[in-house]
Amino acid sequence: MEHFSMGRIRKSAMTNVCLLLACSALLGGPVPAALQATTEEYKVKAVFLFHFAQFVEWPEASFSEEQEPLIIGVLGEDPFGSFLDEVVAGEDINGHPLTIRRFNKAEDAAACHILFMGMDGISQLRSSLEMLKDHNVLTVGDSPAFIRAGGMIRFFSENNKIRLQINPDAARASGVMISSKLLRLADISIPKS
Amino acid sequence: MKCCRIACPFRSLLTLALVMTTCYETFAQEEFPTSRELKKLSVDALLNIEVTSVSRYPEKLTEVASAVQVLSNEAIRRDGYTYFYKSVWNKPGHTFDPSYAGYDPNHQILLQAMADLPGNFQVDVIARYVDSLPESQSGDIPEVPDYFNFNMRLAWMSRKLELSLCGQNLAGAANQEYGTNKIPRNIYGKVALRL
Repeated sequence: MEHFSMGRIRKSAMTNVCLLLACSALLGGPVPAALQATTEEYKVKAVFLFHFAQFVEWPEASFSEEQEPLIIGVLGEDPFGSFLDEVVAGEDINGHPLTIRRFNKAEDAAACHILFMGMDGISQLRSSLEMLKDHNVLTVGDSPAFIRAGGMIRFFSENNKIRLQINPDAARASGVMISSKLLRLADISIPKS
Repeated sequence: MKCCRIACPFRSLLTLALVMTTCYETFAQEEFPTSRELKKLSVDALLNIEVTSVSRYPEKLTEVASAVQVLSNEAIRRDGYTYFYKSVWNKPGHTFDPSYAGYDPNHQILLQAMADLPGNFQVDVIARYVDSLPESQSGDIPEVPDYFNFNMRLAWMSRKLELSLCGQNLAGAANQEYGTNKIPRNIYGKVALRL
């Protein structure tokens, strides 16, 4: 009756199983990260960044010339890949062509109009946001601490949908006006200081 | 007939989530809108798009997985490892031949890989490992050794036409699956026209 024993598995059969595992790995294995396309979540977030350009007013001084580009910056790790560039290709807002630029340091990003900040450490966020405070930069992020650290628009997810949390006071303090059309669709959050 | 009791303490379907064999899952998913399509949507509409998110919590960027494979229930049912152990004995005062319940393989492994290739080609491989069956107690049904075998399909599909070449039991020339019956290797072609 008792015939439970792995020892009965013949070697040849096991070799075949291993071979097949290798084959199926070739056919269906996970794609290396470098070849992986932008996740759905960040595709939608990229389009949000594009839309923000239409819902925000910057002081005239933030454009030195009429045709100067409106710069969307990505600071730190870039989750959008080329998708963000695809989204803004050929687009302009009031004659300002949209341009994407990527930065490693916050001090280099002061010329941006919109900046996505891909870091999450609250102290790092705080110091970067502090540095950008006196420039007219709409700061966007998705770290849980983003608004607390002084950021303006934070993405968060709820039931697999992307929601917006906005601190209009932080935006106003930097001279950036967020349209009520956008505020109406977001959770308004003003952290106690 | 209450003379025997079947207890299967280990009767459970253990499923190994084999990430490597789920590529068809990726292909089966509905296409996510392109950048051009997404751009046309209003902010309102964007807020209503469902995105595949593995985590239920807002994720920190640095903690987001770089590659994600979603295993559906279907994939888990189709790929997996089964351990089946049957323990049958007589209740006191009864005489019943437990071999009546028959034999089942203890271990079974099923793996599938399906891929869409460029040029409308598809390749599917389905492989199985089935553990041995012992000789019946009366000795009239011989032991069936454990075996490994696989089926493969290569297909070309257009909107109306499907041409496919399928091979069954490609690993062994003649496979013993039950008793002395041998299942031969089998290759066939199929032409399907859909109107």
